[in-house]
Amino acid sequence: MFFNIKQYLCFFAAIFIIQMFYGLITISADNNNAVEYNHVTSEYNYHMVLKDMNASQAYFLMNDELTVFKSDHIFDIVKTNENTNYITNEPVYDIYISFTGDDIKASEARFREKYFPELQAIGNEGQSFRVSTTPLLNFKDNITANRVTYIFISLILLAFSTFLLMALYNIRINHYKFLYGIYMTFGADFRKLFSTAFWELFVVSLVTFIPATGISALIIYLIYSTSGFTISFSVLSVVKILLFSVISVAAAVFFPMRVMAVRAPMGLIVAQDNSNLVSSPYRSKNILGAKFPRDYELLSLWRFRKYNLQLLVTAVIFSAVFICVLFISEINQTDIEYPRPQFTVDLSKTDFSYDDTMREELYAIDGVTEVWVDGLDTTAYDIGSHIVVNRKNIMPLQQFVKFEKKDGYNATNDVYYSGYTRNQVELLEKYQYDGDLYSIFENDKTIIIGDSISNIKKFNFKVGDKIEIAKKTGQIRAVDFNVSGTNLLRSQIDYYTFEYEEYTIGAILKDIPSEKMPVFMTPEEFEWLTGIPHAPKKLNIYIDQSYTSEQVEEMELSLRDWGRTYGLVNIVNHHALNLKNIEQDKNYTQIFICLSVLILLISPLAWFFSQTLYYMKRENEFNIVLAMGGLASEIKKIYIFGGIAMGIMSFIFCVILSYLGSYAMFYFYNVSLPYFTHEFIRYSFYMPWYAILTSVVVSVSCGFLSAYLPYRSYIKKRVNLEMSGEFGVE
Amino acid sequence: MGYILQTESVIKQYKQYDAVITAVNRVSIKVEEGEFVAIIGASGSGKSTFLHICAGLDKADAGSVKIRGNDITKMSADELGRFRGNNLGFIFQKHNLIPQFTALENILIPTIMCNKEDASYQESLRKLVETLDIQDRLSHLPSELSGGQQQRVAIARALINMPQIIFADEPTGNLDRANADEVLSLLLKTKEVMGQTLIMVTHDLSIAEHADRIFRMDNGILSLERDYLDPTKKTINGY
Repeated sequence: MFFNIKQYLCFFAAIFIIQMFYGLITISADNNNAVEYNHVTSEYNYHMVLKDMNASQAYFLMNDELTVFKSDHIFDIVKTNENTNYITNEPVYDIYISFTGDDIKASEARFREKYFPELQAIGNEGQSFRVSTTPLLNFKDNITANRVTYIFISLILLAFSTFLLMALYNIRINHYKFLYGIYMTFGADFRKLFSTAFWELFVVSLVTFIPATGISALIIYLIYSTSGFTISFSVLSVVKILLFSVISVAAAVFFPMRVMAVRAPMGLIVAQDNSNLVSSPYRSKNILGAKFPRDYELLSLWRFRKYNLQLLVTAVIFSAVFICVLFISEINQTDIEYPRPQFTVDLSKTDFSYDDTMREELYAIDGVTEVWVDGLDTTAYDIGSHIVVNRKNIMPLQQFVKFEKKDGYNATNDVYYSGYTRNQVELLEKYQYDGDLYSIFENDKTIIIGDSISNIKKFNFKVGDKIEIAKKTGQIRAVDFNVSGTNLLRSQIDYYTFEYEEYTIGAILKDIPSEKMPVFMTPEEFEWLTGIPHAPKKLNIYIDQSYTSEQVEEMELSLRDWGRTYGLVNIVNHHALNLKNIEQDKNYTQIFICLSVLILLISPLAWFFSQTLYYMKRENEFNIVLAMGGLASEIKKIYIFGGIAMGIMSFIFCVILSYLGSYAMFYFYNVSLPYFTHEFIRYSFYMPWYAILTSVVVSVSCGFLSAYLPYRSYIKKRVNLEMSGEFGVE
Repeated sequence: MGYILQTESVIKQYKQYDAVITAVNRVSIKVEEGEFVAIIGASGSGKSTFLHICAGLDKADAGSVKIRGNDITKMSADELGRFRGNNLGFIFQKHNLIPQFTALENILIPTIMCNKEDASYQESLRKLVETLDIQDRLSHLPSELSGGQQQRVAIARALINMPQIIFADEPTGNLDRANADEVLSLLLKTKEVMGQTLIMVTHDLSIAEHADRIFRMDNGILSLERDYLDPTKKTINGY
């Protein structure tokens, strides 16, 4: 290794980058726990709030009447708020509790088991207290979740870095088949081949370990210091980084050596000779004809097609992954900034439903930005309905049930219906749309629709197009509920009776997140179609994202004060702003950007390492060509032509692979992931021009330079040989 | 009587474009311990391929190859690798020395591959370099050695683990007459001293005449050309 340091430079760089991957992830994971802890402890000093308790319940808790022995003591009361129920004019109490003991969750469980029945027993008739917990209670769970995330990301990185090292090692193996053939001729088995390969890369990883870890720590320090956090650095992190890099190294050499060990040594030894053939006998005629060197090099590109293809895929894939990881960082940022409700308001235990008066009262509370009605959507599936769409309005390659009753039409029940008032429609203005959102209030048979299912555009509607909505009116025979999906819809169409109503599309929402296609209509139409009265009982409250935790706490108090004017209104704080701030301060977006840049740096390694060895092996071939009458200028053209060809191909590969990779990421996050998380966030698919440009510039310049620089080295070598008299001067 | 090498109906075919070429066609041979067998034949007749198969460097499509009763065609890749390192020596026509290694490093490759203790080969190394007269060339790179010296290093590499059987693929093919004679005499000398079996592919009849038996390979078919141990068996096909 010492004497062939040039040969190993690429492995030094690759392992250095891999260790930085682990360094960034490991050190940030350690600090993310601290970030989470700082946030929750600075904003909450209680684990649970028991709300709207009557005086007896509050007294029972304040006196901790169930505690006899010191060991029974499992909670402290942090504070108590006294309010008035405006309906009954009786005092109500909020008790803020902090659990004691080493295991907070166990204390909470004991509290619920021991105190809740007693508290229920002394509650007022038909009225119960409500419970909410804070992120402080779930802190340990979140730490566990952070660990799981760390392990998950580490495993992905392990697979990726193994692939990277394996790709580089395969390039090396490919160029050193002769060496391995000789080793195997004289007794090398898999164990010997593997241990030799492992130890050489292990030594490399030891050399790069300290600088890589140090630089990772420095980057993390710079990223976190902008958020005002001081970073910590544990010895365990160092061990983890080393361990991961050793596992990568071992895995990366294991598989190539396993494959190598079963090959016949003679095949490896003669590969050396075959690689130096000017061309295969089959294609060698006219090779030095009039079009030399252009056709000659074209043939050479074909002759080494397997190598060229492998190189293009291996080297360009890192440029494509760079774009994909950048795209993930953008998705991550979108996810963090995605508006989530801070509070939900449940009016179901009151006689009231959301109306214009309530709307005004809620918007009057400082910090409330949007109030959305929740829980009034009805899916077509639930009410045995479907819509009928002209086939020309369906995007190509989309499959829907053929509507037999009307030629050229298709049916789907991947739809949900919503009844919206004018004030609610106003909220839809934040989405991109065509048409007039308020047209539904001018004509009963006008609707607003979204054109997507599972966040993917499925329809090609224009404003003014018609769709028919089926209202179930009866049933001819029972539908087999063992069938599902399109088969169920077919059965429903056959066995149910429907009343079809034609609606005109008044507006089309382009980017509304949705699992099913949304259809918005007036509350009256909604009631006619679904039979469900339009009485909104559940509300999602969105707040000003610049608010401090104290302001949010004040908002919650104001909301609850407002709620008490309507009786038993349940208001739940989802701590969305706090969770958003925690996620923001975990700096995953920035770390993803760092990872993407590191990944991009790998691409030149693959290019130069492979091409240098490739052209080194072809030097004999060029010497023969020179001896046969080729000119030095023609040899130069061979290099340049090869470089240009690789540059062009890398451009094509880069664009194709980047597009495919990014679309796969987009599809995963937009369509597949929501089925697990049940949260439909709409991410837009686009490929950032700066990333594409960077990636293309890197690929094309590496493609060209990795051929041109070996030419300069060849010329230098040749001049030296000529000067020493060992090479004939043309 | 036990044979050190015994092959049975070995077949090896190559596909070249649309044609199938049978390089080795049902070849059977039995070689006794300490014997010197030469295989002669025209270029492309399959003699090198057969030698590679006998040495476990290439795979036969059919048939068996037994060395001291061990069927190497049935061995796993790892078993075969270890077996080759400990029992077989191979000399290539083109030396096949690793250009980045010195002569000594090239010679020691088999000891490293077979995890031999330093002490276990020191004596044989000393004897070999003396016998082959390369003691003052050990620190040279292959490119700094003449063709004859390179072949001596290759012979030393093949013999360092004291294998029972040496396979030599035209070891004198790249050498002039004087060097070729010298290499042959060195091989015969070491064979004599170490009691090894030597199986050599050559197209140099003057070298083949030193063998105990001469086989001829013609289009993949092996036939006995001459048996110096039993002249009556001359030109009998097969064994």
